Amino acid sequence: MAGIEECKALCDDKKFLAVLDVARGNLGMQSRLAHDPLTADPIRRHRFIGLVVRKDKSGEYKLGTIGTDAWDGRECFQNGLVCTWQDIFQEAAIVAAAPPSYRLTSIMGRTTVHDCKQLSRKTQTPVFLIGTGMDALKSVFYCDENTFKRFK
Amino acid sequence: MKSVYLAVLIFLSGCAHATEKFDADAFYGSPEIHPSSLIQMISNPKSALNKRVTVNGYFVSSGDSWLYLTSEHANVRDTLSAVNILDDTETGELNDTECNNGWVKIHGYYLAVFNKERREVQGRLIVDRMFSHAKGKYCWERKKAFPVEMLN
Repeated sequence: MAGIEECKALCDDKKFLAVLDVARGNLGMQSRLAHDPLTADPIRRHRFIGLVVRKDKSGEYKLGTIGTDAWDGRECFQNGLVCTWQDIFQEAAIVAAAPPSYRLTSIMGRTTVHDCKQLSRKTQTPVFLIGTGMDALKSVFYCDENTFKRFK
Repeated sequence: MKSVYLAVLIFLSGCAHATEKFDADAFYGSPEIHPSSLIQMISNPKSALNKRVTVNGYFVSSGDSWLYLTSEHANVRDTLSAVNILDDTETGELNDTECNNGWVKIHGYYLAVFNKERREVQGRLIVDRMFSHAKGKYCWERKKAFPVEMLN
C-alpha cells in the first residue's frame, strides 16, 4: 500500500507500527470471542470495540484497555472495581475494530467514514479502523478529520 | 405430468416456507408488553429491563445501532441520550432497512446485560419488529429467534 501523506510521521514510525500490530491482534481476538457462541459477550456483540495508543514519557507506545466506548471517544481507567471515565483527547492513536458482520463495503460506507472522521475530530486523535469479518480481515483504514484511506 | 408434479412440489415448499414466522408470544412465554419511553429506559432502566417493550425513537445503524432521543442527538452521536440496539442478524440487516436514519417504533425485549467494563448492569434492546413512522409500515421483522441462552 502506498504511504498516507496525512499520516507520514506516525505511519513511518516502526515502534508505532509494531504496537499497532499487537493492538490489531488483541482487538481481532476479543471481537471474535465476543461473537463465538461459547464465549459470547452480549455487551460487545455487534459493536465496535477499540483502545487508545498513547506515548509515555520515555517515548514508548502503550496500549490502553479494550472497550466499547472507544468508538464514542471515551476510555475507562480501572479504579478498583469501577471505571473512571475520561474523554479521549490528543493521544497517539485510537485503534478500533468493526464487528465481524461488517464487510469491506460497510467499513468503507458513507456512515462509517463519517463516524470515523467525527471521532477523530472530537478527540483530535487519528483513528485506525480494522476489519474482523470474512472479507475485511487484515484490512486497516486510517482516518483523521479530513481523510479516510486504506492503510493496509 | 412431471411438470405438474414439480409445480405442486414448489408450491407446497413455498407454503411451508411462508408459514415460518417468529412467534414472539410463544418465544417469550407471555403476550404482555410494557410500553416505555427512551427517557424512562435511560434514566430508570430497571423499569424496563428484561421486559418486552415498545418504544419510539430516532434509529441510526452505523457500526453500532442506537435509538436516540432526537435526530439532533444522533447527529452528534450523543450515545448517553440513547439506548443501544443489539443487531443479532448475521449480516447486520438493521443497517439495510428503510428504518435506518428515521423515526421508528420498536417492539422488542430490553435485555439486561452485565457490562464488565463499567461494572454495571445495562440494557440492550433486542428488536422483534420495527415500524417506520415516515413510511407508515413495518420495515423489519424477526424471522429467527434470539439465542435463548443470552436471555438467561
